[in-house]
Amino acid sequence: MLVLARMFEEGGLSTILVTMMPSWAEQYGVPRAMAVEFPFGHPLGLPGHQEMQTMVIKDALTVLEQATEANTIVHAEYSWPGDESYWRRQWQPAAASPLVAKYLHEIRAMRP
Amino acid sequence: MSVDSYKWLPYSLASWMQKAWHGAGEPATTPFTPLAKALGQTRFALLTTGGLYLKDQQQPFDVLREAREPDWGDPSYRVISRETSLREISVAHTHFNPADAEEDFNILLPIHRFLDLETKNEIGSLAPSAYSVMGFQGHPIPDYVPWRERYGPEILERMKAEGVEAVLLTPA
Repeated sequence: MLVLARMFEEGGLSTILVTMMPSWAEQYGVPRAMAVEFPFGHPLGLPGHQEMQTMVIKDALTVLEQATEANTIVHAEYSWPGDESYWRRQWQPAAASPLVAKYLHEIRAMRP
Repeated sequence: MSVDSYKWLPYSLASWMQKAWHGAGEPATTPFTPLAKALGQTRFALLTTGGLYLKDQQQPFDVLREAREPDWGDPSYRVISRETSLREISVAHTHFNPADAEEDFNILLPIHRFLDLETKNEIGSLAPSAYSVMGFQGHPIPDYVPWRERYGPEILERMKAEGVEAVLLTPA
């Protein structure tokens, strides 16, 4: 995604990224980003929750409008409106991705 | 507030990602195009990496090949019209639970919210086309060559042909 943002900016477009992984944006560079502490798959909130989606979008557009230089990353002050332990499971796919399945031995070896 | 990138991940998976995932060597400087107009006069496009596609009209992203080759991700893209209605979208992405996005794709590709903003003159307009890719592009170093050399330039050309000035990007 950061690769595409760079290409669009180089092509004369202005971009705003809404990201759950600001550490990647910091590491690899981003024109402008708003970081949200939301579960994966939910950068703009919950399905059917139009007010929440609109709030996140408008805040992101404010970052787009106000940023004056590259690598502007604004951390939004939102709290996810759901039970944390439930959502730590809920965002995950029903079956492990092929990547996680392939490297499960390495992942399990990371346990403390 | 400082957003924790690993808050929702199991400890072992977060630790592995930080150890085993690598970038593709981005240049030190980041390009930046200032927003040329007020939001109310700016024409927008949307792009998500959530693997969305039109379920009766488009091929899903190639998750069958990904199942055979877990270190590979489909680099192609799908064009999704601003006319798309809720039940027309499916998701082909093996790295997150697609149920909520299939119920309401606006959490990843907010076409309907941008149409609302267009009606209220809070943005200039939403372009006819939105775009979907599948964000996982390979491991341990993503292969961005197809995006850089083919698909990225195609998307950019189409955006410019539709008069786009700004893009909202939403990873999954």
